[in-house]
This record gives sequence, C-alpha cells and structure tokens, in this order.
Amino acid sequence: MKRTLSWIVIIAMLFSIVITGCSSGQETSDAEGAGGTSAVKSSEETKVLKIGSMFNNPDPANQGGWDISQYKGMKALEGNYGWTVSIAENIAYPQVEEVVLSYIDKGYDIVIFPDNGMIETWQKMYPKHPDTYFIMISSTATVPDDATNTTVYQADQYTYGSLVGIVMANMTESKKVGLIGGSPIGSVKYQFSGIIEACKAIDPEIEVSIYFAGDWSDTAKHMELTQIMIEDGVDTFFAMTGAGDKGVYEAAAAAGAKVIGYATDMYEYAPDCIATSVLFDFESLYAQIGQDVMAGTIEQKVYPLGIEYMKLADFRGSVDAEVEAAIHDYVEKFRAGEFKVDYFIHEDILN
Amino acid sequence: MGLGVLFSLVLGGVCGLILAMMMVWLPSNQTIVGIGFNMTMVGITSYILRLGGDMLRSPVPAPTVRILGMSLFDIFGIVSTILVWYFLFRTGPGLKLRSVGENAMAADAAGINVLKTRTIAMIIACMFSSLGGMALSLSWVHVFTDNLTMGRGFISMAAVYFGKWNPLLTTIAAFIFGAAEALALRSQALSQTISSYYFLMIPYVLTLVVVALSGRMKGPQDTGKPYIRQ
Repeated sequence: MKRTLSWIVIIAMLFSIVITGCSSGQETSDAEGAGGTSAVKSSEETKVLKIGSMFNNPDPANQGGWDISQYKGMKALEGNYGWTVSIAENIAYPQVEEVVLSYIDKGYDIVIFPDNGMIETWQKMYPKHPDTYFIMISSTATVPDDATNTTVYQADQYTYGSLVGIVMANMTESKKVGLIGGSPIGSVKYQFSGIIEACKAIDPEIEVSIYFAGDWSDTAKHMELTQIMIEDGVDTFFAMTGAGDKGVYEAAAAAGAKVIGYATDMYEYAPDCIATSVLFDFESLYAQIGQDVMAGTIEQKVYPLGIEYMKLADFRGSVDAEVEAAIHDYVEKFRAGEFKVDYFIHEDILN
Repeated sequence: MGLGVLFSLVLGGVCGLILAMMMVWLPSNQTIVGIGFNMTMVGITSYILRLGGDMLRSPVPAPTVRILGMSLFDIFGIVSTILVWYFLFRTGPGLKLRSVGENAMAADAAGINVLKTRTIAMIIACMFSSLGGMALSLSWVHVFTDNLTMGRGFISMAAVYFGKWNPLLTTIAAFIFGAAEALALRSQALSQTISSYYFLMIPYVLTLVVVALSGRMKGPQDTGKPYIRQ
C-alpha cells in the first residue's frame, strides 16, 4: 500500500515537472527560430521580436486598472506585428530580476517593466545587459545620457491625479473623499498629491483620507479600508491598487458610494459603483512603441506621457447631468491651462 | 449558497483524504507536505479562476441572514468551537482522538486504530478549513480572487499554539489576532507622519510576541509525528 502510494506521488511530481518542462522547451525553440540576443533592430533585420514582461499582480488581464490597460496594449503587439509577447504574473518585486534574467537567457529582444515598483531592478539590469532592450513605464525614472538600450515612458501621475481630483471634488456630496493605495511606491505620492491639490482648488473644504493596504492584492484588506472610510462619511473613492480593487468595489457598492476607475474603464468589472474612470491610453502608447521599434526610431530618452494620453470614460448616467457637465467643463479648462492646480508634492503621503 | 457550501465540504474532504494519504499512510513530513499542498492549492484555485472566466470573477450576493450582525458562517464558527471542545474533552471518541495525538503507541496498544482515526480527523479538519475559506469569499468579500486568504491560515497556526491546542482558547487567540489586524488598518488614521507599514506590521509582530511570551508550549506529544506501526 505504502509503496503504491509512494509511486503515485512520485509519478504525479514527475508529470508536473515534465509538463512545466514542455512549455519551457517550446519557448526555447521559439528563441532558436527568432534568432539571437540582439538589442532592438529595425524591421529589416529582425522580423519577429520577442517581448517579455511581468506583473506584480495575479491575472493582470482582468484585475487592476493599470495592469489591465498595459496588458491589453502589450498583447495588441502580437496581433499587430506577430511578435511573441510573454507575460509573467504574480511576480513579487524581489523576484522581478530573476524573471528578467530568464527572458534574457531565452533571447528575448525587449523587456518591459510596467510598474514603478520595478524601477530598482530596471536600473540594475539595463547597464549590465546591453544586448537586450529595456522599456520602463514609470513616473519617476530617468535615462542617463550614455544609455544605449533603454527608453522610459514617464507617466505624468500628478496630472493624472489632478484629473481624478477634479472628478472626485465635483462628485462628492459629503465633501469627504477616500484614496486607497496598494503599496506606497513613488508614483503614488505624485498621483495622490495631484488629487489632493485638485480637490483643494475646487473646494478647500473637501477632506481627503488616505489609507494603504500594504499590498496590491489583499481583497479583504481593501474592503475593510473602504468600509472604515465609509463609516467616516466618505462617499467617493479612488483606488490606486491592483487585484485588491475588487474589495473596494464590493464595499462601495454595498454602501452606495461611488468609485473612480483607475486607468481602464472599470465599469464592466463593477457596474454597481463605478461612476467613471480616468483612462490612461496605454493601447495607443504600445501601438506607438510598436511603430517606433519597427521603424528603428525608438530613442534612448524619456518620453513624457502627459494629458494627451488621459481622458474620462463615459459616466453612463451615474451622476446628474449638471455634475457631469461641470466635470467636463473643469477638465477642458484644465487641458487648456485655464483651470490651474497648484503643484505641491505631499511628501508625508508615503509615511 | 447551500450548494456551494456542500461542494466546498466535499472538496475539503477530498483534500483531507489526499493529505491523510501522504501524511498518515505514507507517511511523510507533515510540515513539508502541508506547505507544499498549500502552495499547490493556491495554484490550482488560480488556474480554475482563469478557466472560469467572468462567471467565477463576478461577485456573489451578500448573505441576507444576519443575527446580531453576524452571518451564519460567523455563528457556525462560534457554535462549532463549543461543540468541538465538548467533543474533545467530554466524550469517549474525543478522548480516543486526543490519545492518537498524545501517545499513538499507547493508543494503538489500547486497541485504537491510529491511522484510521488520524485519517478521519484530517478529513474533518480540512472540511472545517474549506468552510473557513467559504466564509471569507462568500460572507466577507463576496468574491474570489487569487490567493484570497493571503496567508491568514498561517496565523491560525500561531493561534493554536497560543491556545494550547484547546478550541476555546484558540478561538480567543484568533479573535485577538483578528482584532490586531483591524487595529492595523484603522490606526493609519492616527498619524500621517508614521509610515503605514508600521501599522500594518501590528498583527504579525503581535503573533511573534505572543508566541515568544507563551514560552515553550507543550502540545500533544505526538503532534506532527507520523506513526509507523511496529
């Protein structure tokens, strides 16, 4: 009996190892077909590129607005150019380096870092691996003059936060708005500062509450934080987080509170509470990246991603027509520079 | 929801049977098997979530039946604690169950089938665990996401240690740890100058402090030890 059980366990383990090995083997054969570990070349030299990326959150295709938007943009490169796009998920920040090294070992041409929390790994990796091209999507990264194999797309999180703040300040009836962050990384400071200053610019009486869950994915913690703020009278929320946003939606929907979606139109994921979303047009960004790579015109510099990449999703009647009109009016004036939001970074946000 | 609870109990029982096969009958190191099984289940549930698509990602209606603000899962948790305590410390079968964990050889000599008893205990324990998971996803957050439990089960191990393997004391310990987590979240409002990470550490620091101050807890002598019949 024991021998039989032992053999069952051993065979099951070997089977799982073989299955894992088969998928790795397939990527290796793709690497051999595509050829080489060169940096990004023009379309004349390399027809099929291999792109690798990783997300901190599990299931980035369906959870967390920032990740969903980036995931869709990356995957569109497969359809548009026939490139191979490999995406690892649920990668803790300390393990990002290991994943990147794995991509490099397998001959991937480009590695994309979609998250500001990966900035330290990016800074470490690109100088050491000149034959691989690194793209960093970040609000705080910079590119040294002597860099030859990296490009930064710098999302203007302060402007993004200002747009969120404009929406929240007009929507709140209790004059209390709540912000929930996953982990307190650098970009959160800029985004939340933009929200605070925009709210103050519209109505100085608005109170902004900020809580951090400590990670991007703990749904129960996010839910409880939202409930805490609801008990304090908060009626409008924004969550800069990942998979944990479902907890925010659940708590807000139960209390009749409104939530502003992050980066992606989150209405389909939470129709009971999403009033609108401030969209970040990563699909256009990645389409532009694809064009630049194919044309060989991608440059080693910081490309700013400003307000031209941001817009509001449809309100779908979630607020009164007057409120919606006021929001659109503020947003247009903000775009035109007629409505100004003071630039002030609240350093204590990350405390 | 009733069907979900039933399905959960069946699955929990199946998991308990698999664990019992590995831990009790092979037997193998319980800690390693337990950790490996835990990681496997996280992966399997995430995979099923991917396969299930939008249907599994959708939230479920919150339970409508509440008594004194508590859901049926909460009430069941409290009632089952008392019932389990009574079973273990006031009944004959409970004495037999404790004996196979206290001194398996003596229990075997007394005619108790140690392996069968441990197997049944493992199955029932896993069914209780699955109910705990159900309480989290159905009663608390009303949705399933990857790694929903976020390691809370490991804190329950500390609660068992602190509660000296007594169901009533263990439940009190679990309440204390739960209160610490609630405090960690709420205390962020107390200060904007203190990092939120210090507050979020509270439940884990409390766990360490409690375990350290508890001294060398003497649990059942044969806990965690596989039994091989001579």
